[in-house]
Amino acid sequence: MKNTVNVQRAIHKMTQADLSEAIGVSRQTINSIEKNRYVPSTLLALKIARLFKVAVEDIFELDEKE
Amino acid sequence: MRSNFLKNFCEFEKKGGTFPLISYQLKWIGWAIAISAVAALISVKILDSSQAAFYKQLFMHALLIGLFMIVITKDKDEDERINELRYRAFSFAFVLGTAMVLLMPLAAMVLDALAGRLPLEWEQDQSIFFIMSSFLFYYLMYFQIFKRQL
Repeated sequence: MKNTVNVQRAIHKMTQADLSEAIGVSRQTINSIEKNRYVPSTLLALKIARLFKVAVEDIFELDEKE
Repeated sequence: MRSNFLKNFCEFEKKGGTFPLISYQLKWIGWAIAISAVAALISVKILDSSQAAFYKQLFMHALLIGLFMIVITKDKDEDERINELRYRAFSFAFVLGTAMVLLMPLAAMVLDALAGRLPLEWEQDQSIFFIMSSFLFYYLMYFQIFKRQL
């Protein structure tokens, strides 16, 4: 699954630490999500989408293979 | 009462309940127990006490308790990713630990046969220490690898 968390973060001028604090996870988790090493739970994806005021599909997208 | 307990347990799991873990601060106590136990085991070996067998068993048990405390303590930054990595490490440790316990005596037999030591004997170290330490070490190893790689 691809995501644009880093793009959204840049738009909102947030650091990984700011985002991690806002949604209650560690900075390493945000880093892993941005590098596509970790697929977040639905709950976390919804929290991220709500924070950036966009739909989940605008941030997370299925790969062609999936 | 039993079905009530099971029902509550299943409800807890359905809500994504996490494995009950102890405070992060206790990890250092676990390390202290484990390291002291290893040091004590070495000293028992060196000092050659009359009750060496008793102390060896005691400190081996203390080592397992220390490792178990490390395993069941929370991480510094506990969140859903760490929780998922923990479950993954648990399953890897279980499968690899079981495979090792099952395959070790077979491997020993094959090596015996290759070395020409006959008749073949079924050597199986089924001590609690061997089995438990395999599981605990594998878990700690996988958890650290996953945390660095994933």
